[in-house]
Amino acid sequence: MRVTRSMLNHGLDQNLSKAIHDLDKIQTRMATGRNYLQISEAPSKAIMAIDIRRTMQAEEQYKTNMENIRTTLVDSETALNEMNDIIKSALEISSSGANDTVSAENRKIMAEQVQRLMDRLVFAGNTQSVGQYIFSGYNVDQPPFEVVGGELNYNGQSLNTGTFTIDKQEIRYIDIGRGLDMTPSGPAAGTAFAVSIPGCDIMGTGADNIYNVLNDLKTALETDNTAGIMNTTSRLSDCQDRVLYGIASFGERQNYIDTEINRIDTLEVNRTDQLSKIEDVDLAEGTIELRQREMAYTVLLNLGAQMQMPTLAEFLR
Amino acid sequence: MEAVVVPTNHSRYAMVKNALSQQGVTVGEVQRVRDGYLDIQYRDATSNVCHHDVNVKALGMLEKSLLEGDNAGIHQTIGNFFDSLQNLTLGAGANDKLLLVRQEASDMVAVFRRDAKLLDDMTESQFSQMKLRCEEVNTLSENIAQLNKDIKEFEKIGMAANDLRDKRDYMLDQLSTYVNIQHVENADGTIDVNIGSESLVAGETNRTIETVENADGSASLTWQDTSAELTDISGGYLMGHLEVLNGGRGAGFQGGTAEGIPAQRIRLDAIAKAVIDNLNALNQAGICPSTGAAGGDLFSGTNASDISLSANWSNDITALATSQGGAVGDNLNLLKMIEFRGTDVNFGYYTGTLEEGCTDWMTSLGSSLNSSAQRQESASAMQGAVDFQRQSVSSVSLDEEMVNIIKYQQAYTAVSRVITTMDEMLDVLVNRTGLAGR
Repeated sequence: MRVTRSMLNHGLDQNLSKAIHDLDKIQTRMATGRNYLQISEAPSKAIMAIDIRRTMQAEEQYKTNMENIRTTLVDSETALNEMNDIIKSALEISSSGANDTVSAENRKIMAEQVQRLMDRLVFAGNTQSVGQYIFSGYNVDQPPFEVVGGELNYNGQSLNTGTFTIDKQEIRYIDIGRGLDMTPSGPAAGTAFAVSIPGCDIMGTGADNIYNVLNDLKTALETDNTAGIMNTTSRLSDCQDRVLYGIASFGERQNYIDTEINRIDTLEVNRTDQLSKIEDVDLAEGTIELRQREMAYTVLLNLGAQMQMPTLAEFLR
Repeated sequence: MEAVVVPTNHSRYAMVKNALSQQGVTVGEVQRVRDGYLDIQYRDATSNVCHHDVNVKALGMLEKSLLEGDNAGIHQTIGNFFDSLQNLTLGAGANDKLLLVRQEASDMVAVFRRDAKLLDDMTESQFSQMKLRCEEVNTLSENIAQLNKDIKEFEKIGMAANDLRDKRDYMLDQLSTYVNIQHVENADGTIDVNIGSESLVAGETNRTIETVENADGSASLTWQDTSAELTDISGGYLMGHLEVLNGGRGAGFQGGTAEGIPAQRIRLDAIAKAVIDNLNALNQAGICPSTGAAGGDLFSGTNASDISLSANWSNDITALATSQGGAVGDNLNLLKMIEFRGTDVNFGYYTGTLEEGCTDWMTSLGSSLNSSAQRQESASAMQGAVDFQRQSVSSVSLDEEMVNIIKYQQAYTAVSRVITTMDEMLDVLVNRTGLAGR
């Protein structure tokens, strides 16, 4: 095959252009620290990275949701503890007030104490968390409990006489990444997380609701009715059981949320690691490659300079 | 990487019949040393390179502007929108959160429209490039026809029009960047240039091609004289433009959804339509806590170009139907919308969630660019190899020419020796013979 000077030059030109192209590629990779900049450079890797990033974004949101839930749960628990304290105080009053040695005057004073407990109870029932009433079910913008005519109203209905059916809308659900499955009767079990429990569940319905029991205690104390006072003790214990059960259930759910948050934190570390494996340049490897490319380029330049040797024409001069 | 036609507009010349005799030197003819087969191969390779070149450039631009790495793409804004819905479930009814949802939705709408506009701009620029290149093809074919005429005139007197032929070959090389060509040489020195089975240049006449924008937005390449479409185009810049604009390969170029701009538009529109239809339906199924009435449309429009927030929602952030029962804290309908994020949608060409639809789009664009780039690279390597061989035949080697010069110089010296000898012989004959009587 004939090889001419222009072919050599052309070849050198092409090789130089290829070498500098390669050098540019590795330099960009090193400078950006990324294995690829455009999806087309590594479609399958890029899609994997996108998937991971999407999952991470979703998990970040779930974490925000759960941290929010956690705040609500803690606030709910605080409110329930307050209710428990109220009931405890009421129990003390009822047991000491039932004593025959207590005078009618003292009982009147105790009745006033009970009245204050009742006020505190309503206040605890209307606890807000992040601007929302915890125990009002769906009416988060309105205080659920209100005293009307000596009876406690929940969402506008007297707890003493009203009928309460807990429907799905009364429980606030939040997505925490267990997958959503919305059925006509609300989210399927084990999908969305129920944050709130309706206040009527805690307070109790019918004549045995906490407020009414306290009210009965107060009336009995006022009327110096020992039997009446004694009668409230067992009813108060029932109320306490209910509240304690509530506290336990909130605590349990709080635990669950804590575990889930931890799980997502751990997952995040794993995913960042995975992402880094896909996207980030291995610096050691990259540096070596960069050096190799640089050397290849330098060698080519050198070669080019040497290739400009004299032709036969110059040789014969 | 650029597709370049190396201007080899002069080739090696070889002297034929350089007879040496006592009469002196006669140069009978100077012939170009050129391998016609290599020329054909080179032009085919060039057409191929340029064809893929257009694809790579167009898709590369689309990729850079549509996908934008990790942020601000459609995929990201859809994610942001659903995240804002999640936030709303935490504090249903809060005005700031309702506002945020609408803000994210309007960002999403803006990105849809921006991308649709980008595709429009891209289409327009492809058309104008294609038209320009059509003009260039027409100029080249006209010039070839003119050269045909000149060569024919010149060669009538029996001399090879080497310069003109070099020029014509160079033009054929150039023409091969625009469109796939074959040529045949006629007895009178003219050539006929064909695109497949159809004639572009026949002797001294040439035909004109033009770009037509069809009503449906697709492109056609037609003969100006018959208005019929070019049937056999398969390479060159023009083929690249046809592919990018019409989105398909092979005959007819119509209805392709796998490649080019149409593929992107179909995907973008399908995703936009899925957003509009599904979120509207979900909103209509719920109840707005502010009014207690069923929700209306959230979005209006039918595709990525005309999507917008509904008038209802633009005027009133509470037009979002968050509840099933109407209470503020009831976020069941919001949860249904969030559920939709994980629900498969039938896009027609693909079934998956909204975000998977986006990923599918990215994959298809990314891998079609990737494969175009690979095709271009291998075509380019092929072109380089053929060019190398072509240069091996045609380009001038100084060493060779030097050797020739020495050869001829020596021959010349040898001839002058002969002349000197003859001169001496004559001298002997004229001056030194017949001196006996003197």
